[in-house]
Amino acid sequence: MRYISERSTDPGLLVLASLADGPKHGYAITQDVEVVAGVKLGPGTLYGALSRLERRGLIEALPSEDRRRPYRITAAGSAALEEQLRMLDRVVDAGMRRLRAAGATS
Amino acid sequence: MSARLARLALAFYPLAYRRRYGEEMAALVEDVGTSPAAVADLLRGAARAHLRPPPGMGQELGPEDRLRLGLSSILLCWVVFSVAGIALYKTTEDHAFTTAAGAHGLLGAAHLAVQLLALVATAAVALGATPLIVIALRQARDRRAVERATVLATGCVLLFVLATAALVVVANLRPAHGDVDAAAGLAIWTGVALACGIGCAVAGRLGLFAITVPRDILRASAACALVVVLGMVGIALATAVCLVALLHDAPGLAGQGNGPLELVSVAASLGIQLAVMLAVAAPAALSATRAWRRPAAG
Repeated sequence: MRYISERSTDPGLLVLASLADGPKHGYAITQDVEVVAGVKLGPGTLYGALSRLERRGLIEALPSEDRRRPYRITAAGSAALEEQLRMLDRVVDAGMRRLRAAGATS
Repeated sequence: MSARLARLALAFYPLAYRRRYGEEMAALVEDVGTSPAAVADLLRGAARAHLRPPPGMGQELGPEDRLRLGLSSILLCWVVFSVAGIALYKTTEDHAFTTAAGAHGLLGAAHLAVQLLALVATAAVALGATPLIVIALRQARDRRAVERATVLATGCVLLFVLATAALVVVANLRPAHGDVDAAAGLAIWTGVALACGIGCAVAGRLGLFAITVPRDILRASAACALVVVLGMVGIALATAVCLVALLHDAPGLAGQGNGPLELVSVAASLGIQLAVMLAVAAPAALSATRAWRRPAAG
């Protein structure tokens, strides 16, 4: 079993989710993540995540548009994202069921 | 102000990281705007990039750049190490220590080893740096970046010479000055000397990446830097032996007050100097390893 980040707002997961619908550069990723997750990724955190994802082959850089280089998710990245989201989905599902059950008995 | 701080924070990232992501990050900082939170985030990111670099990041640098990076890092470590070394010299220059070193074999041998290794390492610094300085001076007329580095280094050396001359003059003019004055003078000189040394190391780094150096000279200088690192490790080990021998063979001397104000004992002074030496020798050894090692694939 592979471990994922202890935080649900794992920057790597947010970046992968942001790139799932197409290539984006750094600024577009931060804007998208802020809208979708309500989390603001700082420049250091964003590039920390981008560098790790790129080194792991989960995303790849596209030819640079001036100084703003876009990134796109790879097939391995899509698979990793799907696996993590399915796992989170199971956790959310189980957690909500248990909360409802606990609410009904109290 | 925040924009300047953000640019400064970007400069704290490792060179390989800046080569790969620096321009993009600078563009992002311009897009999102700079704030204290963004600067803090950049500084945290820089610390993480140093402590846990992404795998394979070293491949962003060529072999010669890694040698340049290693050389400049080792020079900076040597500057800080030298401060601890000078403090060790001051701690052990007293007649009482010389007498104890003469009477106890291990203490004397360790102290002698420190001095010999310091000579070897200093000679290696001079041998490794001289050709690079000559090249920098030749290229300073044509290249702005080299000229800036040369001016910074010259300024730092001149300031160090002036501070040392002032210390000597004040000490000779006022031979009966109090301990507090002596301690203050020595503390100011140490601070100025450390700042000048760090300034020279920064200038060395700026200059190293701005000059064109024949590969053989660069490799010869890197070999000298390796000797400097071995010297630092050797001096630290010899200082540790010195401390143990002092505590075992001359406990009376070890407990005596040290320095103008005698705030700490001789043994505590040696312990602090040893801690600084180890703390500096470790990154120097790591820099030497990174400079010479072929980066792993992946």
